[in-house]
Amino acid sequence: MERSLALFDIRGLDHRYPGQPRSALHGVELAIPQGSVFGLLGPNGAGKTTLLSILLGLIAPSEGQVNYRGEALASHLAAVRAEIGFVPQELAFYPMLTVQENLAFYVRCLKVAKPWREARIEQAVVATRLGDYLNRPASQLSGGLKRRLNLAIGLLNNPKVLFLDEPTVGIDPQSRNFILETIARLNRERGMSVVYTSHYMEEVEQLCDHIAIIDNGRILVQGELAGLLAAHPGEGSACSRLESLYLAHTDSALRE
Amino acid sequence: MALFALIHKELLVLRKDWHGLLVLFVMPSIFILIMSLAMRDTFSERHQVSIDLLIFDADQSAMSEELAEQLAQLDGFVLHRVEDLTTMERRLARDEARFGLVVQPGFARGLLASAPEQAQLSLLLSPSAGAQLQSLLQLALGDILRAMRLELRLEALSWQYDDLPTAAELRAIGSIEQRYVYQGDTPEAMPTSVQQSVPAWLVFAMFFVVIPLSTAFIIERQQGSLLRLRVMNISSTALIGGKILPYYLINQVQMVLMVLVGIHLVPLFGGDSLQLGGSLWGLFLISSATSLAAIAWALLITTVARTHVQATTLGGVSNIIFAALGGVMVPKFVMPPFMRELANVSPMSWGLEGFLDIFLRQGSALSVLPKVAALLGFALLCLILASWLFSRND
Ligand SMILES: Nc1ncnc2c1ncn2[C@@H]1O[C@H](COP(=O)(O)OP(=O)(O)OP(=O)(O)O)[C@@H](O)[C@H]1O
Ligand SMILES: [Mg+2]
Repeated sequence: MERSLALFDIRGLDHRYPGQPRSALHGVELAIPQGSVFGLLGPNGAGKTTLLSILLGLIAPSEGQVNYRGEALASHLAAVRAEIGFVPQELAFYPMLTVQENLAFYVRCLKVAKPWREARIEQAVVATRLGDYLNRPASQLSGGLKRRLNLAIGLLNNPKVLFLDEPTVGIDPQSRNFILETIARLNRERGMSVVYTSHYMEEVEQLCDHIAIIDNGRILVQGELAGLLAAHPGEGSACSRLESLYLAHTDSALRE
Repeated sequence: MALFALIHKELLVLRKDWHGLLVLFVMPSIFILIMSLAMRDTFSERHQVSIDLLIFDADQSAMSEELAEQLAQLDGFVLHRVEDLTTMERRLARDEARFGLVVQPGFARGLLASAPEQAQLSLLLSPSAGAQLQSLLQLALGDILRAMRLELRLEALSWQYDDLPTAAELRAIGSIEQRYVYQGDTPEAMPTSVQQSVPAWLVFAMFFVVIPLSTAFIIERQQGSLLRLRVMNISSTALIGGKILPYYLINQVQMVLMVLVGIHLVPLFGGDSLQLGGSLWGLFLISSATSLAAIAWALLITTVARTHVQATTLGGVSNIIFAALGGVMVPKFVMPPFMRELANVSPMSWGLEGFLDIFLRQGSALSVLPKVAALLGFALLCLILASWLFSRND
């Protein structure tokens, strides 16, 4: 792929948290293509959240360059953020407030003009099928519904790019499937680019067309999923081939 | 505007956090009620202080009877007769009374002697007899004894002279006029216990916004809401403003409510009613400045603490230290001079003095300005530190 056409073009990225002995990211070179569902695959502590935080301008990297649509990220950060929907790894909403109150609060924070707010909320609620739970306090939702609310808030700004940091942790297969299908639909129907982190192989297999495997802060492989799998012949289904690809690149020792 | 959304959200969250509201509104109301009633006698004119004084008369003379009568007229002491020394000692040891006076046999004879050889009176003290009361009682006793001796001498002279003053004439010194002095105009209000407890516990409660504020803020930080808001391009000024304004509102509601508790609730339980005598502008100024200092302190605690348990502990303990030092728990006028000096390090003391200017000393808006300036300076310092830590950590 032509790098200049990439949505995000990342070069020589290094990051070390203050006071930490090891770098969280090392010489990361990465291109995230426009319109794709991009899977960032890696074990706990690999540096996935750190990388997303840098792409969102939440952390200034120790070294390296990040371009968004060919321009330096830092130079037009506010405009970039306006195009991005962010679904953090944590359940980032107010448990005391109802689903409706949470959505209403965040949509106001997005400076959406008053006449459009209802429509934005409606759109997000429909996409995540939260309609029946609007008046429930968020704290009383099931694990799956909480993840759906977390996703719905990320959709409120009608984003061109959706960042999802492990959006399916700790929920049952039905809820997980629903979330994966929702993401696929958003990509297909609205052309939304998706950057998706996970350590579940089968999710990435089902959802993503491009992937990168990250471990100990280094990108080990990246590219089109189909191509990578083809280049890594092995027996069994695609999923188990991805798993053996993953295990071949990350050392299979147990993690922190 | 995002700021309004943030304020609205904060108020919604608070409305559902009744534990936090309990701390902010009910706790100070209860403290004001209890302390106003408990300390009523220390302040009030109308309700006299009553210290129990036991007397055991082993002399059984006209003179000892006269002494008892004089003592019974002493302001502030209530006289109880006991029949023997053991009863007296037992009751004093149990702290049922603070003082016991034994009139020794030979008291009357001693009064007539030119220089009494042995003690005519013994004063027994309970463990809780305070030093000030002791000297007060000693003075009063000395006074009575001198008057009685003088009276006896005059009586002895009366057959020689006929224009000598009578004992009653000697004792009548005319009453001493007494009045309180204030900074402002002549006041209507008397310094009652409620005048002291309302400002004290109001300042204390205002600083307790640290509990709900830090808890909410730290949960936002841990759960990623703060990240989300930053990705939504919300500035840290808006974030901090979105905390200051709702809690400022809450502090002002606390102020109005505690004043109402002082005016209406305390009298229902038999206490005095709070009098609002000083300048309302002054009240607004000192209340606003105290609130800003409390909120800025809470924000600083929030940025220093990693978890909300840390924040509640740090905030709670620092508040209690501020309060103990600053004259909230123990009024400053009962503190020894060096503690009074030390009290000045506590921002609660600045707030409290400002409120007392209004409630107790009938002060004007001008009189609270030095305290307002100190509180605002403190608030600014905390805010600068907090925003520096905030931008460094988050
Ligand atoms: N705020 C921080 N301060 C110091 N070190 C951090 C901080 N956040 C992350 N780290 C460290 O940086 C490394 C990468 O962490 P990161 O959260 O990016 O991993 P991750 O791939 O998202 O892991 P997980 O799957 O557990 O979410 C880890 O070693 C982690 O301990
Ligand atoms: Mg992570």
